[in-house]
Amino acid sequence: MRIRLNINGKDYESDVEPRTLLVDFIRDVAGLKGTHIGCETGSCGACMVLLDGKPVKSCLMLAAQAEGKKIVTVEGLSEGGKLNAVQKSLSQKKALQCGFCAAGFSIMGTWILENEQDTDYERVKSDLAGVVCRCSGYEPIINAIVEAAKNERKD
Amino acid sequence: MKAPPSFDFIRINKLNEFYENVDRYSSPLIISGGTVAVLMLKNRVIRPDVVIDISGIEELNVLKKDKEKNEVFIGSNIKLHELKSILPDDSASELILKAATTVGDIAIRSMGSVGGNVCLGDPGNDLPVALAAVGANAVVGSREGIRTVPVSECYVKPFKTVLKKGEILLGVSYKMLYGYRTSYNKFFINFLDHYVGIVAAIAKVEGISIKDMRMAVSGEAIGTTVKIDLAEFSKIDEINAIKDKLNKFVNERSMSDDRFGTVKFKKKVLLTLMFQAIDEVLKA
Ligand SMILES: Cc1cc2nc3c(=O)[nH]c(=O)nc-3n(C[C@H](O)[C@H](O)[C@H](O)COP(=O)(O)OP(=O)(O)OC[C@H]3O[C@@H](n4cnc5c(N)ncnc54)[C@H](O)[C@@H]3O)c2cc1C
Ligand code: FES
Ligand code: FES
Repeated sequence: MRIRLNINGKDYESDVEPRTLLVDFIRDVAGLKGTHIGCETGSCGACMVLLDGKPVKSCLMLAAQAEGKKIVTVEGLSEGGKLNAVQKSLSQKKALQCGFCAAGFSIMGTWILENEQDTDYERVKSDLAGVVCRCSGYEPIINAIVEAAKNERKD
Repeated sequence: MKAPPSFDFIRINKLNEFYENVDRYSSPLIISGGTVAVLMLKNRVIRPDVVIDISGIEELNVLKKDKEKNEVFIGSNIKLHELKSILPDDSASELILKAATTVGDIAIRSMGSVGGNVCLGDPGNDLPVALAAVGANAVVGSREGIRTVPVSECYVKPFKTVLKKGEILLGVSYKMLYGYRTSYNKFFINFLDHYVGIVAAIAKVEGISIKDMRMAVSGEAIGTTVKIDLAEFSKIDEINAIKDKLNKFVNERSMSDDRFGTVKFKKKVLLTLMFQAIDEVLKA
C-alpha cells in the first residue's frame, strides 16, 4: 500500500506492506536513524516519537496508523543544527553515556517542558517511567530535564 | 526484528463503514491505539486477514454527559491520557481515573484507548475492574443494532470477552455517583509483567451507615474481572463480617500454583488488597 507520512515537517511517501511498523518506516524509508529499536515490546522507549504532539512508542504502531498525523523524531527537535533546551541540557550536564536512550529522553523531556505545569524532580521522574536507560542510573537525566524546564521558564 | 504476518489494512472513518467491511473478512482484527494489537501481531499470536483501524471513527471519540439521566458515556476511541481532562468530577469518574492513570506510562496512555483496555480481556487490565465496581455497562454495536452488557459480565475467561465477530465496543456508560469514597490498588511484579491482583472499591458512608458499597476484583490470581456483592452490609461496624465474606469469596475461587505464583501467595495478595480497599472506603 502507498503510505505518506509527515515526519519533521517533510512528507515521505513509499509503497510498503500494511504490516510495516512506524519505527521501520522512520528508520528505513525516511532514513532517520536517531529513533532506535530496543525491546520491541513498548517497554524501553528507545523508539519514542511525538505524534500530533503526543509521545508514542513507534514499535507499537503500524506506519499506516500514522497517516495524516504529524510525526516529530529526535532529529526534528533541533532547528538548523541547534539543539533544543532538553537536548542542550542533557549534553551540557553529560547526562547520557552510550546515548542509546537519547531519543526517548529527548522526546519525553520536550513533551514535559511543553505540557507539564509542575516540573519538579518527582514529577519528571514519574513522567519518564516509560524510558529505560542502562547506563546512567537516571539521576543525571532527570536533573538535566528539571534544569532545562527551570531555564525555559525563567526566559 | 519482530515483524507481523501479512494482512490487509483498512482505515474506517464512519461506524456504518465498519459494519459494511467487517463481514467481508473471515478473521478481522479491530485496532484502535494498537499498543497490544500490534504487539500480538508482532508475536504472531494472532493472524488476522484484515486489520481494521477504527481510530478515525469520530463517533467513538466522544464523551457525553447526560444530566437528565445522570449518566456518562465514554466513547471507545478516547485515549486513556485524555480522561484526566474530560471526565466529570463525580466519585465514579474519580475511581475510573484512578485506574486509568496507573496504566503503563504516558506514551502507552497517549496511544491506548478505553476500548482497547476494555476489549482485550487481559485480567491485568485496569479499567474493567474500576468500571465493574461502579456498575458500568459496555455499549456494543453491530449491524443488528446496539446491546448493553454490564462490564462485570463481559469476560468469559482470560483474553475472551462476550463480543462476537462483527461487533464493536462503542463505549462504556455509567451513572455518576456523588459523595463516595474510592479505592484502587493493584499488586504487580514489574519485571515479570504480572498483575497478580487488582481491587477497586467505592462506598458512600454517612455517620456509621453504609449507604452503598461496591467492589470488583481482577488480576492473574483470579483470571477475570468479578464483581463482589456487598449490598447486605449497612453499618461500618460490620467490617469484620465484610472481611469474612471477602475471605470466603477468595477461598471459594479455584486457583492453581502456576507462573503467577502459588495459591497461598495469590490468596494473600487478593485479601491484602481487598482489606486495604475496605479500610480505605469505610474509614472515618
Ligand atoms: C508497555 C505496556 C504497558 C502496559 N501497561 C498496562 C497497564 O498497566 N494496565 C493496563 O490495563 N494495560 C496496560 N497495557 C495494555 C494496553 O496498552 C492498554 O490496555 C490499552 O488501553 C489498549 O488500548 P489500545 O487502543 O492500544 O488497544 P488495541 O491494541 O488497539 O486493541 C486491544 C484489543 O482490543 C480490541 N479492541 C480495541 N478497540 C475495540 C473496540 N472499540 N471494539 C472491540 N474491540 C476493540 C482489539 O481488537 C484488540 O484485541 C500495557 C501495554 C504495554 C505495551
Ligand atoms: S523499542 Fe519501542 S519501546 Fe522499546
Ligand atoms: S546512556 Fe546508555 S542507555 Fe542511556
